Amino acid sequence: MGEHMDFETLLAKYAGGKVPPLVDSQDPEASSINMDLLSIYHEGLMAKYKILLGILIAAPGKSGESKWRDGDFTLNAWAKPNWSPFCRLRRESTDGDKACERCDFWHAMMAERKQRTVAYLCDAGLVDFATPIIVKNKTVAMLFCGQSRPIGGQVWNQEFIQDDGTFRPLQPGERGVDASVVSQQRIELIVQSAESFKETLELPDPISPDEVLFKQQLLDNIAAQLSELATSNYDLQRRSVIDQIRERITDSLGRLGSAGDSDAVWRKLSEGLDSVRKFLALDYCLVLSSFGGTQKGLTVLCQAGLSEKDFPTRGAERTDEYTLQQWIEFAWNPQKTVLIKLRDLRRVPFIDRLARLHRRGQQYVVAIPLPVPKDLAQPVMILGRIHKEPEIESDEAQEALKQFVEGVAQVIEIVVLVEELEERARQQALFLENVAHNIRTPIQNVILEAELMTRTDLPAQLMERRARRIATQVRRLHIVSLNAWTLVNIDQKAFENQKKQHVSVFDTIMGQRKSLLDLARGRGIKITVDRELQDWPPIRVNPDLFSQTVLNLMDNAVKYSADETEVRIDGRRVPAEIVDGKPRLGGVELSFVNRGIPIKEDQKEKIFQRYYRTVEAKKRIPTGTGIGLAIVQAFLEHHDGTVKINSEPIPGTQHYVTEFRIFIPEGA
Amino acid sequence: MVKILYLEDEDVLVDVLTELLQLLGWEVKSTKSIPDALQWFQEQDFDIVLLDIMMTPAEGMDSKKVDYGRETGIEVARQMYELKPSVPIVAFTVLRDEQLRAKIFQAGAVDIINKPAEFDDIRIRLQQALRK
Repeated sequence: MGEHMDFETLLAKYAGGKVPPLVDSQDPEASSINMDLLSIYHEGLMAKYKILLGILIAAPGKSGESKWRDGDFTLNAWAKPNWSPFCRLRRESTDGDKACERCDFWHAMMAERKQRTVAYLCDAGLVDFATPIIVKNKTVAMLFCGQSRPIGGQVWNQEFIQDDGTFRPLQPGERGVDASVVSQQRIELIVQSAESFKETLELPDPISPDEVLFKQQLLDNIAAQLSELATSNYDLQRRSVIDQIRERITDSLGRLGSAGDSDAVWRKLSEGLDSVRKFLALDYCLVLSSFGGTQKGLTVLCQAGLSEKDFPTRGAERTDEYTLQQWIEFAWNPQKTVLIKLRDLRRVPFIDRLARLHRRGQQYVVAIPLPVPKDLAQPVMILGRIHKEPEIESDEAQEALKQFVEGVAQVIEIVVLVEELEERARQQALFLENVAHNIRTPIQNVILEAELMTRTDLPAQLMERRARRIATQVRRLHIVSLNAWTLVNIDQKAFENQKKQHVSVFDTIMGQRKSLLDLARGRGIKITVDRELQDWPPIRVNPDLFSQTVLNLMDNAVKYSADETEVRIDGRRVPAEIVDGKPRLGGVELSFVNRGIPIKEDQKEKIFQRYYRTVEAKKRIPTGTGIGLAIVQAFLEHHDGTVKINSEPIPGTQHYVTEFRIFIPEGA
Repeated sequence: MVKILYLEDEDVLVDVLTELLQLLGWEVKSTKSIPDALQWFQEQDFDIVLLDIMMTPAEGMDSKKVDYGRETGIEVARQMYELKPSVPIVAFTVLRDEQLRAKIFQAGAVDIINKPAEFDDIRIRLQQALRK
């Protein structure tokens, strides 16, 4: 007894039989509590709410203070090593320990009487809480929690904590308390304690009245959960199993495995799912997810209980049921298992089709969510229709359930990983293709320009023009190769070892501007630079990364501008200041503004991802590589800089004013 | 005299290749505009068409269908072939992807010239296409 058991050990212990209830629901006060189950929940609740809880089990058949004095301290004792050093020390003294216990018993009685959490000041002037666990209107156990010091609390006086969390002195003769006598005794104890422990460090943190209220509510919530679980053994197990599923899935999704044979996994999953369907007493069972789905669809990962004829699905089938997706997003709490009336889902053709297949039985659908990490699509769930009153299956079904959990987790991993790999491979292939284009095209131009120069007798002026055009093509090649080289250096973290240097912002901008002039002029685009930048002192940056950043921002601004517009580069020096109560370093801010294609809100982060290009960008320039802004991002990270993007429509036109504003702090 | 329609979105290439082809004595109609190219093709008689593949999709084109510009020239070739199948179409592209090359031929092109290419190679391949 008192050994904390995990769920698997519990299942093993009761192999071949039913898991007994937490208490005998016929006479909960007299019966023994199932300590195995309670200890599992004790541990789970503490981990879930990050709160230290002691549980005192009431002595069966007793009442009043003796109900608690003679109770089972097992789970309370378990929490002891985690008490604050102050309380542990106090409990080591016989008198101190007795005083603490008397305080606990008395307030347990108070909590039982009130049938809710009672917050109180203990002997040492700390705020403690006692919360009754109630089954069938009988208090069978008491939760203890506390060890917090009231702000400005007066250690010597016992005070009553009111409903709003504030303190008031106890009135003489107040029910169950003799203030003068108790206070005197307590004063003596506290004096003794203080002298013994005056060098004790690590007093618990003070607690405010708001925190008192919050903790009261939290503990009431916890007790309610335990009370609910205590009354039904099947619910207890099924919910535990579902929690187990959640844990396994979430844990598996946290680890990236290597892609395996997905067909074999599908087969295994489908075999296991039918056992799960029976275990959960569902007419049919679908595992749905929005992994791999379109914006408006869901993927059916696998199903059981439906024939191919009824519901054809091979492995993953996409549904285009936007209504179902909407329902999942807006109407369903992914934290809870819910029972939904089937008729409420009849608007969803997908469900309606299923509903028509099974006219008999109860008209409810159960949705069991399987939470996944935030960066993956939500949700994954088991959706199925209840067939009959559920019953506990044998170990075989439970084993199948566990296998199913593993299988679903693997499938999800594989689906996500394969899709990521495919997308990455596709992006990389496109990137290489576009790099090839951006290299081969200027080379083609140079070859033919040179050919033309040899085949014709051109006047000097025209020869000069040809030569300049060749130089422009070479600069284009230089830009492409620079970006590729920078990318390699970023991947190899070469910049981390390079010293920063003082660099003129104006000179850098003007230098890069020169390489874009021909491209800009050909489309009637002006590139204007704020002349005030000339007067700036140099800034300390990695010169290669900085010039590449400036080039890429200007290049993008020109490329994605409409013809006959202006690209403008401005800057300002930002002084050091306090922002939201925190000091912010001064630095320089550069702004790159153009008029052209938009950048939508949901694209503002994505455009900094390597290879990512918006649809508008692709339409405008099919051959972009999608690495320019990734390089800008690397520069900003290296210099603790930031970027803000604004993109607003220009009324009366199809164009947008887009601004990239970067901030580079001093001393970065 | 050979009359060639040249569709290309790269300004410099349009200029310089047009000039070189004109030095051969060919009549060259060159443009960056897809609608102009299609209109000219329909209204005039050309002996041969030379077209780029990766181009910004034209207004009204299904961008997704042409993979946001990667296959624009293939769609143009297909339309031109449907209009006048006897006029040889030659693709002029940096793309080396085998699947894409198959699509180019399926659209009706008779040859694909890879960029970058020497002018003499371009000339020879165009002349071969004319003989087909």
